[in-house]
Amino acid sequence: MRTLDPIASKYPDLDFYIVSYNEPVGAIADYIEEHGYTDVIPAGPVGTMLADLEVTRQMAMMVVNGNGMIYHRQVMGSAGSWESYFVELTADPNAIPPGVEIQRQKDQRQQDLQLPS
Amino acid sequence: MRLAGGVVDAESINQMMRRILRTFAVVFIGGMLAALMACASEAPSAPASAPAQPASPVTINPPETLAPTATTTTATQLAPVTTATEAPAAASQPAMQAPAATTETTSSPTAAAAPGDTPAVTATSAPTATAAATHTPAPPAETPTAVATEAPTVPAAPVGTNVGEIPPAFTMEGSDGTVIALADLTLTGKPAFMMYFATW
Repeated sequence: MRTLDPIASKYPDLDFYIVSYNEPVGAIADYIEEHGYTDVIPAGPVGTMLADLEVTRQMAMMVVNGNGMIYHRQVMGSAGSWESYFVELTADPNAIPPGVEIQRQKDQRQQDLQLPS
Repeated sequence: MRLAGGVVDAESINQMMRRILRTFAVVFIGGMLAALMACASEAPSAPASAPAQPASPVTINPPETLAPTATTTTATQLAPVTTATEAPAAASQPAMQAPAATTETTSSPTAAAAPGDTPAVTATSAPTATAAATHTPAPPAETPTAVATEAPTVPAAPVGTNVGEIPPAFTMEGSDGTVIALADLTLTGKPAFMMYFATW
């Protein structure tokens, strides 16, 4: 959170949620307020959210674009290494991950080639 | 001066020389005139075709008008040239009218596509007004954009937890008790970064 909050302040077009596994949301909110982190939003999982999202390890991070598509996800690592994604999503909130777009084009070509046969 | 036939003075010799010169001159001039006449009867097609050349670019459409200019004389050539100069003007008017007719025909399908509009009767009187009328109906143009705005919200991506997939619907609880769902994130259109952590 110490490194994430300054980064979050640089990208106001994105929402930064801090989701705790084991602590109640109130405790996280107090911690954030105590340290003066103003640009991150405390939250807690509801129901089977963690299982549904296959969050099985600590410090799992995920970013979704404006359409709700997973733009990138990672386990461990620093949020500072994500800045390129934040820049891309600030420029285009509905951006599609480049690798996914390339894969889609490949799949489309594959389908087009298979259609005649 | 004394010759065989008698005495011939210088004056008579001069007269004879003048006669000879006159005859030569008459013959020479007559020959020249005859040659000129002969040339004039054959040559005029070449110089006449030269002035016809500048007129030929004017005659774009009828190639038949060029054929008589090459064969006829200058007097007859003027007539085709004048008709040729008139012909483009006459042809230009249909040419100007033809695109209008084509635009009218092209605008008619759009008029047919526009629901509720029946500009077919007015299309014959004022095609430009109907063309503007066909462009003015905005509602059909808005409906595709509405579809286009809806399309990104439901992209054709599979549901899953990998990059490029739509995660299964989830809900989070805010510090003030509010419920934040994936649908709420997509409604705002703002990208969201989520960091899952534990304190142990």
